[in-house]
Amino acid sequence: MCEDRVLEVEGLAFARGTFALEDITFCVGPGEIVALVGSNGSGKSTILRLVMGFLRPRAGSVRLFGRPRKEYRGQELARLLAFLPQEVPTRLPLSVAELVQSGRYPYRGLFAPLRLDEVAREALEVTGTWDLRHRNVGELSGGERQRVYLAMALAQRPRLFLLDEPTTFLDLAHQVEFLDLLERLARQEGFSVLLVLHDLSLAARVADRFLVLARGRLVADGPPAEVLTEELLRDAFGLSAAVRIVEGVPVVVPHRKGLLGTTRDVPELRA
Amino acid sequence: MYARSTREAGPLGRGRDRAPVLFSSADEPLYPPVVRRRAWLFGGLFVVALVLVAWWALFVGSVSLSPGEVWAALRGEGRTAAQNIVWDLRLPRILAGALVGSALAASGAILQGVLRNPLADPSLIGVSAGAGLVAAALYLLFPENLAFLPLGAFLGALGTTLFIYAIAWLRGAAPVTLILVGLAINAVLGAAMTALMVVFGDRVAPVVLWHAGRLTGVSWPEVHMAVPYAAVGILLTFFAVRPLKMLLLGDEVAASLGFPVRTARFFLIALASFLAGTAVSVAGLLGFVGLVVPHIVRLLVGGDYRHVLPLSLLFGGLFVVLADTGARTVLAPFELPVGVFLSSVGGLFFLYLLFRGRVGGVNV
Repeated sequence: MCEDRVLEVEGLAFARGTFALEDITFCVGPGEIVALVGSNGSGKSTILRLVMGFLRPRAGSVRLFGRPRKEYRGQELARLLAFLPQEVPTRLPLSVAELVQSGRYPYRGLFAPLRLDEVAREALEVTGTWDLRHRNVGELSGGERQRVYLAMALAQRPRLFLLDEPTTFLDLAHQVEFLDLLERLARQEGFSVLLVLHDLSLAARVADRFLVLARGRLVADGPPAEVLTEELLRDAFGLSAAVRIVEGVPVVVPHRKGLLGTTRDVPELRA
Repeated sequence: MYARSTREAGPLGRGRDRAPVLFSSADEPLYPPVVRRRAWLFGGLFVVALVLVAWWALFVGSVSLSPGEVWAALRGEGRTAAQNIVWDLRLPRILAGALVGSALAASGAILQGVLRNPLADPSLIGVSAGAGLVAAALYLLFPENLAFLPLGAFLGALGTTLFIYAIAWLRGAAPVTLILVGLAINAVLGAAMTALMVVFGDRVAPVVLWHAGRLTGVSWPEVHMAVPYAAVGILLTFFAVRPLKMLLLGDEVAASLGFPVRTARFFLIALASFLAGTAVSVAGLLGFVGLVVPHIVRLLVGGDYRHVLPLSLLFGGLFVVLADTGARTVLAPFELPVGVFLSSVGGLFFLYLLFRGRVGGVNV
């Protein structure tokens, strides 16, 4: 599917307790923005952690630029691959400048001079966080904080970004702001993105391709407009919803009483 | 495969030939200067205070000396008794207090960062339990052979820490795991210590004093022994700043930057134990310094480790010398153990700082 593969995941399997992932196979091509979607607990974050090597798979392989991920040393890997977890530390006694400069660690090591280097400056600039550079990370608003962490990851100059629900704590406008920024940078820079998102309509706005996860397996892989169907929503999310195309982008509108019992457990309120 | 040229194409790669209009200076520091000024201010203040307190500590005590007598004694003149008091009793004790305080405060500051827990102090990683058990055993079982007490306490502290870390490593060595394993091991060793003290109830007085933390009778041999260790520990403390900052980012973010999280955590904890072990071998189980000094420093200058660690070294030393001088003067000629004085007065002082909430505009 993707030629010139940036990331290839093949036959990945993982199990912990009753949770299991089976036969996860996908790839990410250069410059591609791929959204990994699925219901809560379907294993999206787990897949990112398996790719990062934070978790050990039971089977399968992860390759980056054609080389097994295990063959990369820590800093070498960090120059190719950046990761933003869903919950980043918020109350940090660090200035924004310092946080973003720490994204230079893979290149400069631990005891580099305490100065913003060229790349970190540009990361601050392109994310619109230059004016925040002397602020404490703990003082930032949610939207500012996400942009600052994005700047830190940009300072790594990675070829592939993994983002785990980067817009969770943001209001709609800031979600759009963040995703548009990410998309613009990815297009300009040519880096690839694999991101976990909950909001399917927003994901469809930025993603070139959807990977849909359900019951521990990938059930769909393709462009949002093809993948995002009423049938898939029913199957993967247990939701009866209409899908409309607005400005060329599929938009999900859940029907009233659209829950189909897979999300179950929540009793209906009685008048 | 992926030529560098493709990555130089975007705005991130073009910076070098773009005029840096947006940037105020070519050498942009990572901090606003005001933060650094405040740190230097308090650093200077602590140094001056340390000198003044040490000077004062030479005069007061069960025998009061006049400035003239102290000055003469320091130059090796005057009464022999005064010379002995200044040179053999008070001076080594001041030095020991400063070293012990610095080491404990640095240890606490490092641990609070590594374990991401504001309540962390050297006792959490087994320093008190390990050293305390060894000391109790030596005092109670071999009371005529106490020459090994400092070394034994030091090894007990370090050994217990390594043991706790080894067990926690089996479960990934996350901060919470370390804290819980530490709690368990502390409980076991504490029980052994209590059992010893119950069995040898008639001889516990010196153990109790040692457990309270004391500088009574500390003289040059103890100082000579502790100086090399303390010097190494304090020097290494400066190298702990950057790794601590990386760990602040959280395990996953730090690891994603290629930072060796577990290795760094191991060395930092070993350093904290080394520092605290050195202190404990001189002064016994002096609590509270490691817990509270870093917090006081943070209240004064904010949470940046670049400032917290060096200033904790200074303030820890100041704090203990001050407390020890207080402990031997308030009820003179009777001496309180410094630990008792420190925890009582220090506790109240800390409460006062907490309830002021903001100190000098730095939010807690």
